[in-house]
Amino acid sequence: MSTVTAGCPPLPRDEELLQRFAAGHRAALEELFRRYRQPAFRVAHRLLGHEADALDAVQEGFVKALTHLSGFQGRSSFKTWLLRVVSNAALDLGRQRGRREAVSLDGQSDGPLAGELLTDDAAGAGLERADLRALLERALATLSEVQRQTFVLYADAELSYREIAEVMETSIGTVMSRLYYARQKLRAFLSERTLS
Amino acid sequence: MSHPFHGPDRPPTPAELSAWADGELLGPAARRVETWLATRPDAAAEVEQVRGLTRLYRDHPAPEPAPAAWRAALGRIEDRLSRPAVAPSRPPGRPWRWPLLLGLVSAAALFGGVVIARALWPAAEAPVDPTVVAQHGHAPAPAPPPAPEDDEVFPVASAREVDILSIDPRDADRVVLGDPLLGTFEWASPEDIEVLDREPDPEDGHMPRLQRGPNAKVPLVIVTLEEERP
Repeated sequence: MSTVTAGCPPLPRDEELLQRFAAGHRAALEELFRRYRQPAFRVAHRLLGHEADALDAVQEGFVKALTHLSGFQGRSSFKTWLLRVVSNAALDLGRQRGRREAVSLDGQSDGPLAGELLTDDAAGAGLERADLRALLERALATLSEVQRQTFVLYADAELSYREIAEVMETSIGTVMSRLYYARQKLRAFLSERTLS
Repeated sequence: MSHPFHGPDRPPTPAELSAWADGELLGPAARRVETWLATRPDAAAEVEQVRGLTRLYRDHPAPEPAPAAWRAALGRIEDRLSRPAVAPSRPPGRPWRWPLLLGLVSAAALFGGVVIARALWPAAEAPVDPTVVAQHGHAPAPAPPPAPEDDEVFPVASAREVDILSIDPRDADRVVLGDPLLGTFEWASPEDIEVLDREPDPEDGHMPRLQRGPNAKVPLVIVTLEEERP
């Protein structure tokens, strides 16, 4: 006896969705948004440290990415194009709004965050996730803008070095170097808090 | 004889080791790091630090916005995309009187700024370096007026009425897009203004970096008029 399995229809590729979007299909925009809103938001939130600002950057990024499609077609994926626009929008917004929480660098104590920050046991050690996240953002704030953007695109958007190089219009070697120095700074910042 | 730090047997640089830890090295480059690591078991801790830091960030992402916040964001995107596109420069269909009106506004603002400046700072006669060449409608934009103080700013023209045709890289920090009278700047992005003659910033590659630098002495302020705000 043979069985027939009805598989799910394949998901439309980004290019198809963009064509449908250009033809005025609202559902195509919804699908693109659903597909990429999370990495876009994560990148923007890391760069801005504030949900409302991050959503503004995501909104700005989608609008600009979709109204300037000629800027990427044939040269990169929609995802890298979108993340490029979103991260640049977030950096612009951050400059404009003064990195609102900034990230509340002056008002927070480092004391309770000591211990095992570079391990996976931090939450288990009683450290609240929100506190740890705030500390990680403060560490990011010590980086230069390009280092921060590079690291966030790698860690949060999970882009490859090649994709980051496309997003930032630079070489893979530069991405490698920026990531290395970013990590050095992050570790130095976090280690200081560990030892304090 | 090959130098030990440049030949095929040289130890990997720290950046290469990090790239290997990220799984970004392939082929001979990856094998070279692996061979080196086999002789340096203590370096495994470094590799683990690199991976641990990435994991730490990935395991602590920003909290997801509520579904209502996502829906609202999508709604705003749809709303903005459904509006007629606004070109960065003067659209062809704009009524002819706009350039004239804006020219008058610009001239009035410039004149007013000069008059006020002279009234308040009679000694301020410093020459202005007209380094920004702008196209304002069919006529060149007025040069920035004398700046009695570094913080003195003058509305010159609407952002949508100005195309910057060339700008000295040293003067890029003098260009500000925004409304200085309210104390809130709207930073220009490369999509907002097309600068044709400007080298990329060597540090971040952005083109151009339009912001007011701490050493700006003659800020040129391009004001977005209230009725033109999106």
